[in-house]
Amino acid sequence: MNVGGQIRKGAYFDSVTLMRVGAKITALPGVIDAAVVMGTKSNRAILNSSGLLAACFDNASDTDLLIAVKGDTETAVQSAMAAVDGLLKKAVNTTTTGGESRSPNLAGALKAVPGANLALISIAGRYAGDEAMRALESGLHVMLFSDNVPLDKEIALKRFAQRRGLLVMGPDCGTAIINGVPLAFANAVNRGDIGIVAAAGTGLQEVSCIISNAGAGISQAIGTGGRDVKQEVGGIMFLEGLKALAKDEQTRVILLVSKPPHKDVLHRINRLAKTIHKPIVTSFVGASTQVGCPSTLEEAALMAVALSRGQGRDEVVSQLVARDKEILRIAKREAGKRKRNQRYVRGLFSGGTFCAEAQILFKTLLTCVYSNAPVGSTKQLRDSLVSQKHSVIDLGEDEFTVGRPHPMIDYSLRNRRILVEAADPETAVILLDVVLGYGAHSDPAAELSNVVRQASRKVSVVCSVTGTNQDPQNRGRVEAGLRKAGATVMPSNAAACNLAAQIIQHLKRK
Amino acid sequence: MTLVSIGDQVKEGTYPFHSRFRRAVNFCCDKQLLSVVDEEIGEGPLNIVIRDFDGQSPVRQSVPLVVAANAVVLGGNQFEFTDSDYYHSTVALDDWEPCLFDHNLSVLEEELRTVSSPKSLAFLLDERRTMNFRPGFERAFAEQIHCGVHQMMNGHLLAGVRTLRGCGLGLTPSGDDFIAGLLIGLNLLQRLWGQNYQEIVDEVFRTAKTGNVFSNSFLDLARRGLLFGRMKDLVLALMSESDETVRRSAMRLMAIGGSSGADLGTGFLLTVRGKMGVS
Repeated sequence: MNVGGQIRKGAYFDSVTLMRVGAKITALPGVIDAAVVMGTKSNRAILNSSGLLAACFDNASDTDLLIAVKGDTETAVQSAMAAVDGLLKKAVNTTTTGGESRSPNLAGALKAVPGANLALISIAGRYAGDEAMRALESGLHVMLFSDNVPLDKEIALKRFAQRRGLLVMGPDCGTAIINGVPLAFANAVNRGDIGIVAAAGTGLQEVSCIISNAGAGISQAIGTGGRDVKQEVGGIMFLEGLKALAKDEQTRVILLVSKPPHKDVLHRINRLAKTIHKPIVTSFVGASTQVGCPSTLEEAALMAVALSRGQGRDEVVSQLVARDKEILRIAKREAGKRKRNQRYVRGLFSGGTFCAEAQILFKTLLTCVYSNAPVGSTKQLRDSLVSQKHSVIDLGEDEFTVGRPHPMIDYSLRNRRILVEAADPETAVILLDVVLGYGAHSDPAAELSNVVRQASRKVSVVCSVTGTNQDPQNRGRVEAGLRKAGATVMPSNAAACNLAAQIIQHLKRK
Repeated sequence: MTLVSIGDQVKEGTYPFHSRFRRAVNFCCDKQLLSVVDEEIGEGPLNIVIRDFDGQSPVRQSVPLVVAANAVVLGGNQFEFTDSDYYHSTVALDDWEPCLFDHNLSVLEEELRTVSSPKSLAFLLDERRTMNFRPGFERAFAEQIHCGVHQMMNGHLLAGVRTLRGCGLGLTPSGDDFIAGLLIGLNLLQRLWGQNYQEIVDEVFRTAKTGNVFSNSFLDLARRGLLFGRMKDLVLALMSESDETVRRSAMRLMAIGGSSGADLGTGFLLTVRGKMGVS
């Protein structure tokens, strides 16, 4: 174990900058822990107790900046130290400059960007509604990232927007792609002729990425927020989004994604769809599927791609049948590595739609499935922190996100849970979703590798990666990193769920 | 650029440049810190608030600040002011209702628990938030804070202050922010209930002082019950305003620094709730 330290005099930074830089240094190769702190006596005591106290800190004063790095080797420590200046500079630039303009309010932002026609609002929910109304009154479309906006406020906003011919995407809308610009948690996808309306954030990300990875592209992807398709809101923006895509010249195929809409809303969607002369594919995760309709997000996305190319459903079916054969082969291999008492799947999801889709797919393949966010016949977990039999956990639920970043950004909670599940002798498969794109964790493979490596010694780790090679994280690189750590990486959540269930089926036959 | 307000504790003199941030430039003379800030940071006993203060502004250059009887001179710019431009940092507590105050403290607590920065000291109000601290240094930091607050809660106030002072990463360490909240809380309690905590307040301040001019400056203001704008608004809201007003004031407080506002708010809340061994 090697510890290195540096002292900077007259360097002042706020705590968030220093914490961010400390985390980035810790993520460097060979670094075990790091801290960048002011040199107070208390901080030196903390450095001491966490094994980060360097000898040169003895004479530091309260206003000195201390940089401490603990690494596997002296070289790792020295390399990390060399990177500190760059990281500090970058962190300051991130918060202060970078060409961005920061205005204290909407009026200031409009002054700074006079041609703007869309406002993205991400503030505490109880204030977000008023801010969204101000934006609509200024003639702007709104993407409302905030959740906890009161239902009556959402309805009022959407009715007002409808009268003005504007869109309100949200509340709780995490993803959209408008005119090729990814907003919030979106991915860098190809532009093309498939338009999407989605009331499911990760669902939208999944289908847009599958479409892009298949070589097709997205014209527009309009999020509505999950509550839009409930009875109270009545699908106001889902219908407006559909109308907008019907008029949009770039859009030739329309893909609708949602958890099951209320029956009245579904009726309105169907009625409107009949008046549109463009092919429409629907994926209402968990709704009873009619013959010929896609049963997974992946199938829906591939159907849209086929239609965009003038092909039929058969092309998609043969593609998926071939893939299912491959899944059976991998399942047999993985089951062969497991012991007889290993018999359960533990799904740890960062995307709510993926968690729901897993439950729908498991319905016919597994019995006794539990979840903290049950869908259909799945049973409610007694304690979300303790798995029972087959368990699928939505780590994006409020109970896990109080006062902490979303699990797509902060992997620490899930990483701990992976190790807990792997230590359970009855766990056979750990099922994970890894979501890439803007806003998501910048290096998920590095974040997951260590725990996946440990877990895969005892259980099968099956992952899906939602993203593209154009994403900042680069899907290919992430997949390679996860495979190297011991995970089996599947091209979609549906495929990953299928593989997990097939491993269990094989184990039952053991 | 125009002068919006000048704090009531700003004294005449020449103040050499000390440090610069995006929204503030600090000047220091004889351990007295003055800040020229934008409207987003806002009013404070030692703040001079300038409208349209930006990165290109001459006030951001490393030149001394001169405060005269009715004008501030900086970087070749002269900002005149009159008595009506003074920000008054004391709080008048004419009208308050104990039941409403108690209810509003619950509203503040809810805001701190649910909306504050993940790395703030609000983990003292909700144990689950300790998960936000990475193992290693961050966890050791959280444990040190826990230890100091535990000492305070168990009758060892000054030992707790010694544990907390200077504890934290940034310019104003979280532990110092917490102690400032404690001092503001004690000041308020003695005014609300007619108790005399002045000796304790002074002792806490003496114990908390370090070589950090920023911390010492705001701890001294807190000791004297002189509040910056956002804290003053929150205290007034707690006394007699609606949930909504309290939430807005709490949000504005929590927007200060990375976690400073929330750390200060946590110290303040625990103190006025009588949890710090002084009631």
